[in-house]
Amino acid sequence: MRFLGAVLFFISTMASAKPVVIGSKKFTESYVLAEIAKHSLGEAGISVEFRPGMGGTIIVWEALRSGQIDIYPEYTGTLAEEILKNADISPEMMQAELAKNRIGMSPELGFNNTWALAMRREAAQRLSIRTISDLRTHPELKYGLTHEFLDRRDGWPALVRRYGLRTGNVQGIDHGLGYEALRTGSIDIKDAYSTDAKIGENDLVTLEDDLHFFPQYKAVYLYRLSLPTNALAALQKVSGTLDEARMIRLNAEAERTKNYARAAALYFGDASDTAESFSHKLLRWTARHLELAGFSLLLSVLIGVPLGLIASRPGFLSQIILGLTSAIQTIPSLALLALLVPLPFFGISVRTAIAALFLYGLLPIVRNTATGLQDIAPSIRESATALGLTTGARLRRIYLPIASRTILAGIKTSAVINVGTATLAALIGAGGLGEPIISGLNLNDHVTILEGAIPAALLALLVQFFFDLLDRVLIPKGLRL
Amino acid sequence: MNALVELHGVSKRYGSAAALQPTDLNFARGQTTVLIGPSGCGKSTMLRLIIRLLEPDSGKIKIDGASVSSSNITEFRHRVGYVIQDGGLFPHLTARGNILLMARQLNKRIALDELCALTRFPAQALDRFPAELSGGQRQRVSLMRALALTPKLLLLDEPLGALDPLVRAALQKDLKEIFQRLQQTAILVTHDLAEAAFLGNEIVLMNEGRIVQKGTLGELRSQPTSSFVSEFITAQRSLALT
Ligand SMILES: Nc1ncnc2c1ncn2[C@@H]1O[C@H](COP(=O)(O)OP(=O)(O)OP(=O)(O)O)[C@@H](O)[C@H]1O
Ligand SMILES: [Mg+2]
Repeated sequence: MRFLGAVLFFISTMASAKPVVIGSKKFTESYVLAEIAKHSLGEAGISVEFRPGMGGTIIVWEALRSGQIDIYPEYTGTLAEEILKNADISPEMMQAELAKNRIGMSPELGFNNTWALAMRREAAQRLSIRTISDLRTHPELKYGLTHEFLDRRDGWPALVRRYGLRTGNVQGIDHGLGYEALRTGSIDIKDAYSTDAKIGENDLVTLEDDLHFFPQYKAVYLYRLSLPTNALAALQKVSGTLDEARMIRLNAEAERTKNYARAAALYFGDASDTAESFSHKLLRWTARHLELAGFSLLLSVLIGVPLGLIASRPGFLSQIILGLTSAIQTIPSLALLALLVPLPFFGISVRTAIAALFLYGLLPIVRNTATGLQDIAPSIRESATALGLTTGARLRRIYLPIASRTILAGIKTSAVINVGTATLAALIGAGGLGEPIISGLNLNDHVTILEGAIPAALLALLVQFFFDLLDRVLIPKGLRL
Repeated sequence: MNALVELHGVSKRYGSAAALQPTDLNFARGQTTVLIGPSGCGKSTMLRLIIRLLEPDSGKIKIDGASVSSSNITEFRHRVGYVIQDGGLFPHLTARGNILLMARQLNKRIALDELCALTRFPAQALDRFPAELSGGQRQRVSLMRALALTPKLLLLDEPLGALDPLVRAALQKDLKEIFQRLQQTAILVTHDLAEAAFLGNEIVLMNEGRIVQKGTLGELRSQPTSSFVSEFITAQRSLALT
């Protein structure tokens, strides 16, 4: 029991140390802006905890509002439309609304990352299209638009109405694939962000929004008003220093080098390689990965074995326990994380990842413990009772050792599942080998994905091997004959 | 008072089927009583009731004139040895581990070499696991485990049931010697009338959950109380002749 207490204490302190926590959304520019904030605070000697790539607007906003993070980069348009749900709100009103949530907004960073329509420079020149209004005379053009842009109330349908476009040829296409389609000519026009690095890379032009249809998406930092003044000063140094061209360069650098920290370093005029060496990163990921999988497994064992013990006796309780643990197993891991994040104690944290992995690890251990105990021959049980062993002694000296092979097999299954599933912890910023996998997926960079995927697979093999060794130590020799 | 174990109106049923009808029976001190009868007649049930693996539905069981209650059941079990057909040995413990398990729990010292000599078990095999012993050796270990705490009562449920005839004969002889040497009160269940006659001071013949007759083999043979008794004895004798 003391041991369990210590474990819980450790887990709770792990998540409650008090550096300034910087989060970001899950796309390149947000990563880069978060890195810039981190760098800026770091230069001011403020200790920073970094949680990049936490998810979409609502997740990151909720994390800020509930105090799980202190700073993240946001856009005024998103703030008005998605968070405050008031498209026409003035900047002063915006500040006031935010203050109600004890949140502040930095002065604008400089650039406006709004929607834009992009086409090949060569095609635009050939058809002499410069503005969106010019599209009216070219109904033959093929549009490939992201689903998000197509579906938004303030997106494509509103744009068509405002400009009076006649368009027959519109299809939904993934953002990344859309650039490829533009390049090969299977579409002529796609939606883009005005600071998208791909615009420079693919020699595209953005069409002027001559009727001022698109809202302003000025980049800002949102921060908790409780932020220490020295941290706030360091953060505000960034304001007004980033125009579109510069942001496009930083985004391009991030996508070229697959390294957000390096793009941030470019902003600070430090192009030298400040990035962590690969071996150091790998060590950090692996250590965190083992920490996640190890703690959750420990909890699964500490709770799962007693539950299995109860479940080994026929009855209502047994059915409830086995039913519940099986039900947990059928929840997709992403959904389980999503369910835990809104709960008070959990949120975007290592705790949540450990809790989810712990829940996943339960079933194999509970089920195997129950089966192992049920499979003990009645003659053994009778003999143990007739000898006059107490209930506890029967369990410790006879039943658990005899069931040890089955129980260990359950623990092994849990461990391997945990090592695999722990990669998902990176989705809620808990780190581990999932970190390179997630950012690799975001950058569409296979090498980065493999940097996480290969060590994760090797780790699973190692765990398997380790437990095979453990079998020899822990399963009594008399049972291995 | 000469009876160590007294059954007063003890009965046990499983659902609607009676495994043991209300039964009165005394087991004499220092004697070997043999329970015999067709399969399913309630012999094992009676042993399980005595060592309280089962609770009786009615009646009282007295040991040394006193009832066993849940508060003294463990101490009671320490003074009773229980040997079953396949030995019921714990597979993860060596022969030594099995024999000493309870003594170690109770911090008692035991003269293992004397037990080995008594049961004719080779001492060098003490560190083998049950899976590494022959059937006869396993029963000797099981017997040592039952005798380890010098029980006042020994219960044996077909201890020789699974052994080949030669090993069985040797063990019968050894058992008889042990019982005599230790002045052991023992209750033994068997299917074999010859074994019952050889080992038992008294034979209790049962059928369908009740006692049909008790006495020596000679009494059962010369004064059978029912046709079932003579049929049972005849069936056993013709079996022995073929
Ligand atoms: N756990 C149980 N549940 C239901 N019925 C049982 C149970 N144990 C025993 N019985 C029944 O009780 C009756 C007596 O069983 P018991 O084991 O005492 O017979 P036995 O005389 O020892 O037979 P055998 O010589 O085959 O061992 C049998 O009809 C048996 O089917
Ligand atoms: Mg029986």
